[in-house]
Amino acid sequence: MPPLRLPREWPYWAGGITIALVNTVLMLADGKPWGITSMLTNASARVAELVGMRPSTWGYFQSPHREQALSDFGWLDGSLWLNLGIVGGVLVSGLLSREFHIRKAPRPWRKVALAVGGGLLMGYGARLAHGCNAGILLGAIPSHSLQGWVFALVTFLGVLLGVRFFRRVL
Amino acid sequence: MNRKRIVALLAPPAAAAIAFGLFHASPKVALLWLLGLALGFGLHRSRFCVAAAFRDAILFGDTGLTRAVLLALALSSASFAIIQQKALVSGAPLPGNLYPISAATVAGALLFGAGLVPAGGCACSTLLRLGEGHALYLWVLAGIVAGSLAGAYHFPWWESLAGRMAPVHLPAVIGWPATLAGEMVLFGGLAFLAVWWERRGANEL
Repeated sequence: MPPLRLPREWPYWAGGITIALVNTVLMLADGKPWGITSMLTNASARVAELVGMRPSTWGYFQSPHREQALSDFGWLDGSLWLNLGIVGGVLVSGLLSREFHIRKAPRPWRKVALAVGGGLLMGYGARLAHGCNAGILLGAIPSHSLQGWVFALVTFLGVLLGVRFFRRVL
Repeated sequence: MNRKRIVALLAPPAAAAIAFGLFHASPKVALLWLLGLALGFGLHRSRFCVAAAFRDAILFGDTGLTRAVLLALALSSASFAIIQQKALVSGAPLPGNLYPISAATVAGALLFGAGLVPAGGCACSTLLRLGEGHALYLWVLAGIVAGSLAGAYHFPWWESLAGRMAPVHLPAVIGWPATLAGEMVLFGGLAFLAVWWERRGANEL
């Protein structure tokens, strides 16, 4: 017996409406829609500083806005808590519907290698493109930015390429 | 009453307690946490995944998520238009994500799109899988974090490779009516294309 009766599944379009609603509130409250990877870049740059690297001197961080965002980054970063909230919201939903289980990473190291390799490609690519599916596809296209459309088209080609290339190893 | 059930019933109050704690430090951060909770909850209940909107359409001819992404885009394009126009009229800085286009955009999107196939999802699916308890996605997250740093390091080189186009806000070039009409035609057209693609795939299988 589940602790609370939740609708078993919402249709996909309900997820689409959730994104549109939350992004609209974010635009009003924060002036920018949901993004993930810019915050992760700042976090990784701060970690890199701990091991003696000097990312703040890199060309990427020379724009006034990005320099500011990097030096302001800390435990009270808004984007950090927005994304922690997403993990928290999934956790609440999973616990209430009894779907949450800790699932250990599988032993075959091939799977771990694919996970790390895919992550590296995505992190590297997202930084070059100023963001990921969240910030650019769902954020820049509704911002009426031409760059969002270029990103969406080329990402589609990238997925096509990825499917062809990785199909045999998956 | 088993332990799992107690943990489940404690989860919403715990999330609210974190919101109260954050509110003392910064009301805005507390609001962002609450918005994140709502987004995570909605995305999990609807099994939403932007990566799958691309991948499942290509691999399985399954376009339910593709159309849901198009719906999200159409709704937020309309609401962002009102917010942006209000800012433009009042002379405030233009809200939204507007970035330049360069070789970095093209190379980045290509690598990003290819990478989400072996990783089994993009950055947002990684957050969702972590919330579901999949430890494997800690490895994906570690890859994204490390890749981000390398990308930031190489960014100036990629951006200097070919021409760089300053951020283009479409309404500034072709006006609001043409922008909104063009976008809605594209979203609608792509949704029709998705339905056609799904039917065609089903016939083949």
